[in-house]
Amino acid sequence: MTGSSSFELSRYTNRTRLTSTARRMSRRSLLRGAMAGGIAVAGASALSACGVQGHVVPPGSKDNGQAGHDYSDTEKKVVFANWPAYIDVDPKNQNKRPTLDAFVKQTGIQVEYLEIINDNNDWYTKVDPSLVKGIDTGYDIMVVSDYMVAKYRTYDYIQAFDLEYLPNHSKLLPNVLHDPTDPGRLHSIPWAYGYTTVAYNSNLVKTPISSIAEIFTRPDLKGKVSLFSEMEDTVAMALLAQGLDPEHFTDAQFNQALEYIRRAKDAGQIRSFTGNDYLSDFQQGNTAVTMAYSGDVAQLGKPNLVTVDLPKEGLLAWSDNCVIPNFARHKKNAEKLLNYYLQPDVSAALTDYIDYIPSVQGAVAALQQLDSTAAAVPLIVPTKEMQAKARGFMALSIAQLNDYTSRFQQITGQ
Amino acid sequence: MTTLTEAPAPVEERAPERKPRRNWTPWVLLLPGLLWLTVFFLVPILTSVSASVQTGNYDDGFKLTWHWANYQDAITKFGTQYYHSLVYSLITTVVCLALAYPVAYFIAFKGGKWKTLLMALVIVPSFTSFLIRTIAWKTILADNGTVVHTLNSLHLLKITTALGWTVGNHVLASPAAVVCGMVYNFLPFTILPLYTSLEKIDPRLHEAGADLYCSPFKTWRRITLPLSMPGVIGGTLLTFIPAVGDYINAQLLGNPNTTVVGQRIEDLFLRQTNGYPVGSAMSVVMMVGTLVIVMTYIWRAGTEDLL
Repeated sequence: MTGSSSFELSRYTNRTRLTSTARRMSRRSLLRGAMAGGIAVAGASALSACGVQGHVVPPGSKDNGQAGHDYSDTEKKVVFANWPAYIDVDPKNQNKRPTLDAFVKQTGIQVEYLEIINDNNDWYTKVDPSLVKGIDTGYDIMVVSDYMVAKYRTYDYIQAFDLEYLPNHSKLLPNVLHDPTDPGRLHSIPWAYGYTTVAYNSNLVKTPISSIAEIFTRPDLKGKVSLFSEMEDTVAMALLAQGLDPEHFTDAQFNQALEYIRRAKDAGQIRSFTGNDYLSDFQQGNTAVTMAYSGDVAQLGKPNLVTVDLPKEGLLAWSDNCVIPNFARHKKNAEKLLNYYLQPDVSAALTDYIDYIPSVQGAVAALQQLDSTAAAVPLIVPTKEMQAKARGFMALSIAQLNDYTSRFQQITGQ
Repeated sequence: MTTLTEAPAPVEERAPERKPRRNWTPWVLLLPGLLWLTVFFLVPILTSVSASVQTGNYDDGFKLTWHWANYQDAITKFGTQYYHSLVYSLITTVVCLALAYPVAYFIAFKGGKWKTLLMALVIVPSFTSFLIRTIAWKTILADNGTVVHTLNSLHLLKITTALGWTVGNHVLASPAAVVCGMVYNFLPFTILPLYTSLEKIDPRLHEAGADLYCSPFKTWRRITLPLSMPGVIGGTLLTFIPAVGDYINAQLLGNPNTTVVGQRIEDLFLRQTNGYPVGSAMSVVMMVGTLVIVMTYIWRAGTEDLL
C-alpha cells in the first residue's frame, strides 16, 4: 500500500521519485562502486549528446507560415484548442454548445473542442517542441493572446488565412483590422476582446474600490488581493496605478512597476498570483479583491461580486485570437469554422454567453435584439469613455518579452 | 590472519562437487530492474545534469556550453525557495513523527482485534488523489469556514500571526496552511513504518519492564523506543524525502511569500522558454542536497543496515 501511494505521490512531485531512488541507488551501486565507473564513462559521452536542436528555419516565411498537407476534404473534422469557459453552453445541458453544434449540423464537420489552454506561456511551451521540429501540433485552431501572436509570428509558427474560405473576414471592425501585432488580420482573428480590470466582493470590502492603486496599497485589503500571474496583465496594472502608460513605457518605468509589485508582495498585500483559476477563490470569499478579465465576473451573476467598469487610472485592453499553427491537418475546415463565427448573429450569441466584446460589424445590433440587458453592460459594449481610457500593452521584442517575463516571475514566485 | 590463510582448504575440497558452469539466472532476473533503472533513472539523471550546464532557449535550441553559472543562478536567485523547502519539510517531518508515534503505538499495542481496521483507516484516505486531498484543505481552512471562525473567536490567529505562521485573520495562504497540508498528506508514510516496527516488539518486554520496577515511561524510553528506531528512521525518511520535493501544498495552500523550490522548477520548465538549464541546475542541487542530508542522517543514526 505504501508502494501504491508513494507512486501516486510521485506523479505530482516528480523529483521526489528521483531523490528517493537516488538514495537507494547510491547505496546499492555507487557505494559498491559497481556502476560508478560506468556512469563516469557513459556520462561524459552522453552529456554532450543531450543538447536540443533549435528552430531550423524552414522554407516559408513570416507572412505565410508553413502549410502541411490539408486533409480537410477526406477528414471532416477540426481540432479547436481553447480556454475554459470561452464558449456558449446550453444552460440545461452542459454538454451542448449551441453555436458549435449548429456549425456541425450545417457543415457536417465534426469539431473536437478542447478546453486545454490555461496559460499563454504554458501553452507555448507545450506546442513549441512540435513547431520547432516542423511537425503537426495536432491542433487546427488555438486561441492565444495578442502579444503571443507576435511571438508566434516572429518564429514563423502560424499560417496566413486563405480568404477564399473566410469571406466574412471583411466584416471585422476597422479597429480590429488595424492591429499592431497583426496588421490586416491575416494570421489571427479575435475570439474575444476584453479588459483587465479590478473586481471585489462587496460583502468583504465595505468601502467601494474605484482605482487600481487601492488594491496595491489600501491597508484594509492586506492579504486579500489576488493578482494575475501573466506578466502583461499585472505589470500593466502597476504601470497604470502609477500614472504610466502601458502602451509606451521605458525600461526604467518597467523596473518601477516591478518594484511597485514587489513592495506590495513583500508587505503581504498580495494573497496569490493566479492564472485562469482565480475565480474559485474569489467566489469562495477567500480573496476579497482580484484583478479580473472583464467578462468573467459578469458570467458568475452574483450581485455581491462587483466589477469596476472603469478604474480611475484606466484599463488594459487585450484580445484573445484564433490562429492556425503550421502544418495543421485541417486548415480549410478551421477557416470555415472561423468564418462561421464571424457572422453577426453567431458572434452575438457567443458574446451573450461569454460576456466579452465582439469584433464583428453588426454583432452589437444583433446582441441588442437577442438580449438587450447584455447589450447595456458597459464591459460588453464599452462606453466611449472606457474606449478612450483603455490601453493596450506595448509590443515587445522576443528578447524583451523573455527578459521581462522572467524578471516578473522572479517576483511573483510562481 | 591465520583463519584467512587456512580458509580456502575446505572450499577446494567442495569445489569438484559443484558444476563449473556459470550461473546466469541472477543476471537474467536482474535484467528488467537494471533496464528500468537505466531508462528511467540513469538517462533522466544524465539529461538533467547535462541540461544544467547548457545555454539556449526553446526556439534556438540548447547547447552544451558547460555554463556552470547556471548553478550560481540556481542557488543565489532561489535561496529563499531552498530555505522554505527545507524548513517546511523539516517541520512537517517533526510534526508527523510527534503525531504518528502515539497513533502507531496505540494501534500496535492496544489495537487488539481492531488493528487491521485501524490501519486501514490510516491508509484508506491515500486512495483518493493527492491533489484532491490537498484541495479539500482549501475548503477546510476557507476564510469563511468553521475552523477559521473558531480560531478567530479564540483570538488564536492573533498569536500565530504575530509568530509569522499565519497572515492576518485567515489561515489559508500562509506558511501554517502549507505545513498543515503537508503533515496531513505525509502522515500515513510516518505511521506505516512506525507501526510495522512497533508491532514486532514482544509485549512481554513491557511486562518484564514493569516486573523490574521500571516506570511505564522508562520502559518506553529504554525498551520500546530503541527497538522502534528502525521505524522512526524509516518513517522520517519516507516523510522528509517526498516533503522536501513537494510543491503542491505550497502552490495550493501557500501565498507568494511561501514559494518552494518545486514551484520555481515547474515554472522554469513549463512557462519559460529558456528555463531548462537553471531549472535543471535547481533539480540537481536539490537532489544532491537531499542526498547529503539523508546520508548524514542515516550515518548519524547508525542504522545503515536497517534500510
